[in-house]
Amino acid sequence: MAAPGVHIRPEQPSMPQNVGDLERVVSLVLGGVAALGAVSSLSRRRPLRALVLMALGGDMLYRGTTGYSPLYNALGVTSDDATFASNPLSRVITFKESITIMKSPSELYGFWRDFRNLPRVMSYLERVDLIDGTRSHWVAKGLAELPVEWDAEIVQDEPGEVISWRSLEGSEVYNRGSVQFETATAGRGTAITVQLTYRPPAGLIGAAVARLMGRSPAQEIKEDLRHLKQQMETGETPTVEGQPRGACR
Amino acid sequence: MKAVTWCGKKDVRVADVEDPKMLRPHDAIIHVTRAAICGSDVHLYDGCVPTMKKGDILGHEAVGEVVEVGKEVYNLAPGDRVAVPSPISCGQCWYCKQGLWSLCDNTNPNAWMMEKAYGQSTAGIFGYSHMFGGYAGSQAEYVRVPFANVGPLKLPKEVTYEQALTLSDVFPTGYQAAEACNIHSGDVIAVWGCGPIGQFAVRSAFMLGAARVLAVDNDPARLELAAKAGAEIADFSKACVHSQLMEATGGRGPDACIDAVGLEAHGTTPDAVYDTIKVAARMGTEHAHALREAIMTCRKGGTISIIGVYAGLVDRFPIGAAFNKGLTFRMGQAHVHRYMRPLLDRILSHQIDPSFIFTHRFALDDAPKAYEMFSKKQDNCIKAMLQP
Repeated sequence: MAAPGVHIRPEQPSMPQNVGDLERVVSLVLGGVAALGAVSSLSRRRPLRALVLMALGGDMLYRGTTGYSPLYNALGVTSDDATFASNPLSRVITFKESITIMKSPSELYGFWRDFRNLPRVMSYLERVDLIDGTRSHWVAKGLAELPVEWDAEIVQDEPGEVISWRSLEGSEVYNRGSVQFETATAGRGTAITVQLTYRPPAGLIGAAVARLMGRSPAQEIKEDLRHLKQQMETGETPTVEGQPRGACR
Repeated sequence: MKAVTWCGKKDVRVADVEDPKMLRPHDAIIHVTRAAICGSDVHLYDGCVPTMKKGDILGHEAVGEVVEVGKEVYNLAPGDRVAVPSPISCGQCWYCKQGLWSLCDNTNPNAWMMEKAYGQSTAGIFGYSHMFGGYAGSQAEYVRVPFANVGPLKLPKEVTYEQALTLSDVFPTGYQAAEACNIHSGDVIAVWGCGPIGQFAVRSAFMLGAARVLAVDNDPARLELAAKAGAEIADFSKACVHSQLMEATGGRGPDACIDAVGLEAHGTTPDAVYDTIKVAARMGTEHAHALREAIMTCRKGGTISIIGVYAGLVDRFPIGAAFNKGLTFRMGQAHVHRYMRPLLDRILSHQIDPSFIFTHRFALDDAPKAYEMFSKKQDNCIKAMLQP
């Protein structure tokens, strides 16, 4: 991390941009305020406070100027507005989970290919409507239960093997996904591997808040796949909600 | 209804709770006529098992009468007498289809919890902490039984509820422990722990062709009960177990060793004391003295069959001894469903009357007294039955 207030480098085109434009402006303003505060603290002989403000200010000014935050880079997230196609180094959130289900690849493919079924296996989805043979309209539960919507199209479709899709250009939240079906050995059915890539709405903040609210996306996807397996194999998902318990009075 | 609830370490209370409801199409509601307390319930009572919550209903051994069945249950009808196996298994996943019922993929609503602890999740169990599903147990007047189309065994009128109660857990468990020894005719089997599991392990070992069974414990009543089945006893309070068993086997060691003790093993040897200190300092959870002893005593190339419950991590595990002696380890929670029918047949053909194991009977209301007596082995209590 650049030392505070000292090594502010001019914008380097080779450094990946991972801070969105609005955030850059805000960072510059806050950085300026912090820098002024640092100077004033020095003049009032409060070196510790000055040091802290210099550090904060320096970070803010750096990211505001260059559009690059080493912290974001370390977290693997970005609030940059550019699409992924133009900047392969910018980070988004990716999940990959696998589960084995005692059903044939064609059966599971058939279930998945009808995207109206997807809310059963991605619990962050409210519903999916079909537009035509390859396009669909998705409505998600989004952040703090505010709905987020987008259109998606199927880009790869091999029956019994793989389906992949991506959100259309101009979508509110960019995302793409794929599901692969592979026969599992020893009569164990099908191994499904799901990959989801998305840029959370409102950038980094969205994912962070979701995590705080207890909805860790990776764990959700794992649980969703588990529920799919339970539904497919037994026709129900196990529960203990609604069963009796004591109060220990 | 009345139910036995866990309210903290060494604190069980009989409480008035709601009757269970049908929650899924494969459920059934059973009116419990007899329930039992298991040695592993004592682990819960002693506070050894994490993820318990105050108010949890205990119990995983029960028999009774079907009261209500879900719309996907075709094999049972109200009025049927049944024994309910302790693990909850779906019957459809790969593990259930392999007969590995206690490893079912689909019956733990808290699978994520066990995955974190163990890598993958196993089957839910009645009344056995939230890591195992948080299911309400059967030490109560009624119990909701998920996957009733798979678990409960219909009982013919020739078998009593008391006999059948042993089929829900304790007899299949002891039998599995003995079966895991891969007994060849003429083998000498040693069993650590003469509690209910050990008692059935002793008897099952003979059923499966063992020539001799050596039973290890320090409780006189339990040793006597094992001797009644034909076992030779080794009292660990009298002399070193290793020496006793080596002498009894001409210096070879037993062909297979059953650990029917599990994580609350007692002992005063240095390794046992080490365990005690670690557990007291909350730096460990397991007392593995019996297991270590079994490893050191077992003959070269022999089998260690672990049926006593373990939950966490263990220190000072003699992996060197186990490796160099080429031991085979087999272990796990009992696949109860697999054994219920064959063992019922043995009861019906009068090969064994398993109800001998119940030394004490209590009304459900007296459950706190029953737990205390059973956990302290007072009054020669070997197994306690509860009658709602």
